[in-house]
Order: sequence, then C-alpha cells, then structure tokens
Amino acid sequence: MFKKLFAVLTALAMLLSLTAVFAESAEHEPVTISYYSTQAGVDDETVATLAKFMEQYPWITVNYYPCGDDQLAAWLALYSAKTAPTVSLLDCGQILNYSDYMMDLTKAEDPSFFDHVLSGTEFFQKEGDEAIYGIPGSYQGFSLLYNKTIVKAVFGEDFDVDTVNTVDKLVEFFDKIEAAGYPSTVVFSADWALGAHYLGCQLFSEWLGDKETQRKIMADLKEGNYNLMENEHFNNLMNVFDILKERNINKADPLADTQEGDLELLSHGKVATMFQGDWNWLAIRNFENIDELGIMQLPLTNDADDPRNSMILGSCPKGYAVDIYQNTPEQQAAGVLLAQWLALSPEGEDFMVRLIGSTLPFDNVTAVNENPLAVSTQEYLNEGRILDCSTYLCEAPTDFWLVCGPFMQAYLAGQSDRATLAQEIQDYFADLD
Amino acid sequence: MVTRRGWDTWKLILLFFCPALFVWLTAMVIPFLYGIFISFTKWDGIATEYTLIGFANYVKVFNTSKFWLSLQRTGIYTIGTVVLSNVMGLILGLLLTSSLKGRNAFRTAIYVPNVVGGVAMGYIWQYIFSYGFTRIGQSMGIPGLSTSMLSDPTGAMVALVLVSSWQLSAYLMIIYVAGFTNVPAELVEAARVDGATSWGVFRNVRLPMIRPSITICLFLAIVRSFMVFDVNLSLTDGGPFNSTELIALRIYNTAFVSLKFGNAQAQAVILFIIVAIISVLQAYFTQKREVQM
Repeated sequence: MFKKLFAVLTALAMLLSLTAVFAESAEHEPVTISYYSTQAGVDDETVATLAKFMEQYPWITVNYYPCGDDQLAAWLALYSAKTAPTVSLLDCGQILNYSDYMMDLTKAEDPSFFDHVLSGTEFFQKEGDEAIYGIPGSYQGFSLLYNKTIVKAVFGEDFDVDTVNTVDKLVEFFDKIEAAGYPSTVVFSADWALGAHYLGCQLFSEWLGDKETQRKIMADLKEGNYNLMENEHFNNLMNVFDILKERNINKADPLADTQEGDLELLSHGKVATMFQGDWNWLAIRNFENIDELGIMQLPLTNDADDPRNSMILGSCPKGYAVDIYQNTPEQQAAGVLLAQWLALSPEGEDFMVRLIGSTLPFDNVTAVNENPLAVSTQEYLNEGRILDCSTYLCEAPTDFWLVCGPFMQAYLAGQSDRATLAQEIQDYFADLD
Repeated sequence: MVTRRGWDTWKLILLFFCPALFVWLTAMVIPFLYGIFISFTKWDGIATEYTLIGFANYVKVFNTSKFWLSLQRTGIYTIGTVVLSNVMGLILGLLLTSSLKGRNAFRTAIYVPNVVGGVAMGYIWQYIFSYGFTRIGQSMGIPGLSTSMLSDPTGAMVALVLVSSWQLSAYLMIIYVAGFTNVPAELVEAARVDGATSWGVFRNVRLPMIRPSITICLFLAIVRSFMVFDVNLSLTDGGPFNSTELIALRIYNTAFVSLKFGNAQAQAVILFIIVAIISVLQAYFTQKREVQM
C-alpha cells in the first residue's frame, strides 16, 4: 500500500515538474543563441554543460563555438560572418577593447546576479564609465609555485613558507634546498609568462598598487615620465629575477624549456619552485603527487614588515560578455541568462571549479576545488594577501607581452643587460599611438 | 550581328568561364581590394564603419624599424630556403629519374613531408630540435648539440630554413622529376656518343633542358618563402627574442595581438608589392635563358 502511494506521488511530482517546464516553455518564444569560449581543451565538457542549461531553459537553444589556437582571430571571424556569438568568455582586456559591442550588464532586466560577485566587476569597467561589460569568470593567483615534499624534506614538516618574506631569506631558502641536492627553481621562458606575468603584473602593480596606481604608471610610461633604471621597484624586481635566473635549472639553455616540461619537473619533485600560476590545472591534474604543490610569495625587498612581501599576485582574467551588435534583444536576454548561469549556477561553478580548477570570486560557491594551487589562491584571497593586477591585464596595450616578453627572454639568456631592457620597455611605450 | 554559331560559342565560353571567374573574384580579387582599402583606415576588426586616415598606416610602417628588420630576416630566410630547397629538389629529381631500384617508393616517401601540414611539422621538429638532438648531444658529449638550436638566434633561423627546405624540396622534386622525364632520350644518348661524361651530360644537356622547371620552382619557392607563416609560428613562434619573426607572422601579430588591422594591412600590401616585383623579375630573367626546341 505504502509502495503504491509512493509510486503515485512520485509520478505526480514528475508530472507536475514536467508541466511546470512545459508551462514555462510555453511562456517564451523559442530562441537560438550561441556561446564562444576561450577555455580551450574542454570542448566536450562545455557541450555537456550547455546541454544542462538547455534542459533547464528548454526554449533556449545554444550553439557552441569552440576557440582554436588563435582565439581572437576566430572570434572576429564570427563577427565578419555576421554570426557574432551571443555570449563570449573572453579575456577581460578584449571585453574592454570591444566594449562598444557588448551589453552594459547593469542594464540587464534583472542585474541582481551581481550581488553574488565578491570582486572583479570593476575590471570590466572602462575609466570614467559606470557600465559593467562582463561577469567575472574566475580569479587566478600566481607567484612562486613550490613543491611541498621538497620543502618538508629540507626544512621539516612544520616549516612555514610565509617566513620567507625577504630577499635574503629567499636566497637562504634556495641555498638550503640546493645544499640538500635539489635544484631550487626553474624559470619558464615563454614570452607571455615573462612579459605578462613576471614583468607586467609585478611592474605595474608596484607596491600595493591599486587601480589608479597601475593606470598612472602606464600613463607615465607613455608620456616618457617614468625612468625605469631609476625606479626602485623595477630594480628590485630585476634583482630578484637575477636570483631566479642564476639558479634556473635550465641555466645552460634557458629558452629551450616548455611549460609542460617545467611543470613536470616541479610536480615530480625534480625542482623546488617555479614562477607561475594556478591556471595550470589541466596540465598538471594527471601528474602524481599534485597535492604536494602550493603557492608562496616572492619577496622583492629585505623589509619583513612590507606587506608586499607576504602577498601573491592575483587577477580576474576572463569574463562573460553579451553581444548587442549582431544579436536581437530576445537573444540578448537569453544571453544574459546563459552568462549568469555559466558564472553563478551550481552547474556552471562545478565546470569552472572542478574541471578547470579555477577560484571563483562569488559568495555562493559550493563546488570543492581539487586544484591544490587554486585552493592556495583561495586561502590568500580569504586572508586579503593578494595584490591584484587586473587593471594592468585589462588596460595595458594588448601587445605588451608580445613585444616586451622577448626583451625579458633576451635578458634571461644573457643577451641583454638591465639598462638595455629598461630602454627597450620605455621605447615600446614611447612608440605607442 | 552575332550569328547563332557565334552566340553558341559565347554561351559555351561563359558556361566554363563564369564559375571560375566567380570563385576568383570572390576568393581573391575582392578580399585583395578590401585589404587595400583597410590599409587606409583605422579599423577595430568588427565595425562596419571605417575611419579613413589616408597614408598614415604606410607612413607608420615605413618609420618602424622592426618592420624593416623583419623584412630583412625574411629576405635572409628566403635566400636560404630558395637555394637549399631547389638544390635538394634538383638532386632528388635527378636521382629519382635515374635507374634507381624502388624509385617510385622513394618518390612517395620523400613527398610525404609536403603532405604533412606546416603547423604539425613545425611542432614535430620543435620537439626534435629541443629534445631529440640535445639528448644525443648530451649523451655523446657534443657541445654544439647539447643545447637547442632553437634557443640561439642564428641556430633558430638555420632550423627554420632546414625544416622549410625539407618540406618544400619534396614539392619541387615532383616538378624537377617531370622536367627530367621530358628531356629527350636521344639528346642524352647523342651527348654520350660524343663522349660527354655524366657531369657533362647533366650540365650541358639536362640542366638547359629543364630551365622551364627551374623557372617555376624558383618562382614557387620565392613566393612560398616570403609568405611563410605556419612553420614560423609552430617551430619558433618568432623566437628566441623575436629573432625569427618573419614578415607574415609579424603581420598576423600586428593584426590579432596589437589589434592594428590597418597597419597590418599596410604591411601586407607592401609585402605584396615587394614579392610581386621580385617574382616578375625572376620569371623574366630565368625565362630568357630557357632553351626553345
């Protein structure tokens, strides 16, 4: 009797929920939209996530455009073909560059989804403009990645890497690691890593540099009012780079490395540290002992009380934007639904946290992150120990890393000196339109 | 007045001519003209409205030393690749038209690199240069091989020339094989009867007879070398420190990284003019030396 009643109730519940879905569908006109993602290498998973969205919003059909190697070229090609994606997951800089074609999301029908966003929306705003052109897609932290197994073996179980908060202590830290027979660091030599992350993010973030500070440095460089060789921060940055360069495991052939190769060295305990970020989850998730990876600060001065020396760098790299140029108002409304669902729904968060291994700057995250580096970032974020360099990433000239990265490579390879490097960076800014 | 027969002929001409003309116009001429137009504008890559800025992009390009540096590098690369790929193609063509056992199998095997895409091939060779050769060098204690060629500016350019020539020579080989096959056997026979050595037969009979093949091979090699992009992108990506950024890669980066589409198009137009002049001159001078039977 009880079983029969249970079966009838279950059937009724299913019928009711189906009726609700159909009723909701009947209220809306069918609409077809598209989604372009610059999150490469997870196409099948993206399609599966979009299928979940279409289950929940049956009147919306979403076509997926995966990105290729040339992310921006493929995206622009869609605009040329008059098939602009309704929702795009793009670098925040690109969203600002093309903000004329993007929706001001504060003017969405119901912008209350922004209430859940803890930080990052300001990076989708242009200077002097209140409009917000993107919903943050993730947050990322970067600094010195380290192998906990090596650190424990050399310094003992209770060693706290937070104590490495001066340059002298960093040198001592490296010395002891090397004395124990481990190479202390590997310098990843890609132009984008050296140009955007080591140089760009650290240079423009200055000491505890906020948004305005970062903007001022860029403006001063453009106007020729910023002499790098006389700048204490630039010299500190390069002094520490010299330490890393001198101890680089690839010192004999510093430009022949690959990202995968360097990460493998770190994960497998063949080198103790590497300046990189938590975004490498897809590359490292299949390695053994990945739980033994963490992020620590890279001190730049000998002042232990300088809060800068206890912080890692962070930024909001990508966001969801909605096209208003080639999509109808109905498509735009459906696009806003998709964008906020991808950012804030449990399914969207599960995708970004569990699969991509990202930290999310939202107040409703329940997905458990398996990426130990992102867990580390989250801890720094919670403790307020992140120096945010999103302004530089969003507002610096888009080719800064492409032009200045090779200058850093030449410096790493010993083909250039500090004065030449400084002059080249200044010349680059002087030559900007 | 057009007769019925004349009208039928015109219909036939249009039937065969129009589809090709349509494809040529839409795929080549219109984009080319549109590209020239873009070079006179400031454009963001999306807008349907363009800001005309006259010759400002050309002035900027002419005043950018890195453009000329990149063009100079492309010239060096082109000379290396044109010479090496043609010498290799010629030698392979000669060998594979001799009475070599299994020559058809060799022709197929040697042609394979040309079938593999430039991007895939670039990545394969990047691995070989960075890990293959260096492992051999380290294990055998050869200092020159212990470090990657790709991390040295000269070595990276040499690697680029080698890989491109390896791929291009396979294509040119086919043209040279066709050329050698068409050399009349009685001419070779007559030269041998007159006492010519193998080298003499090659230099005085075969080589002059394949000049049309040399003309077309040089033309193809020059154009392909000036326009190279895929191998450049995948093998060196312009590195180390921009020392191998050839002109096509520079144009791509100017457009899609620097977001200066007008400037990139201006560079492309200048490149087109340079390549057109060099190719026409080359075709004119090599054709003049061709032997007419």
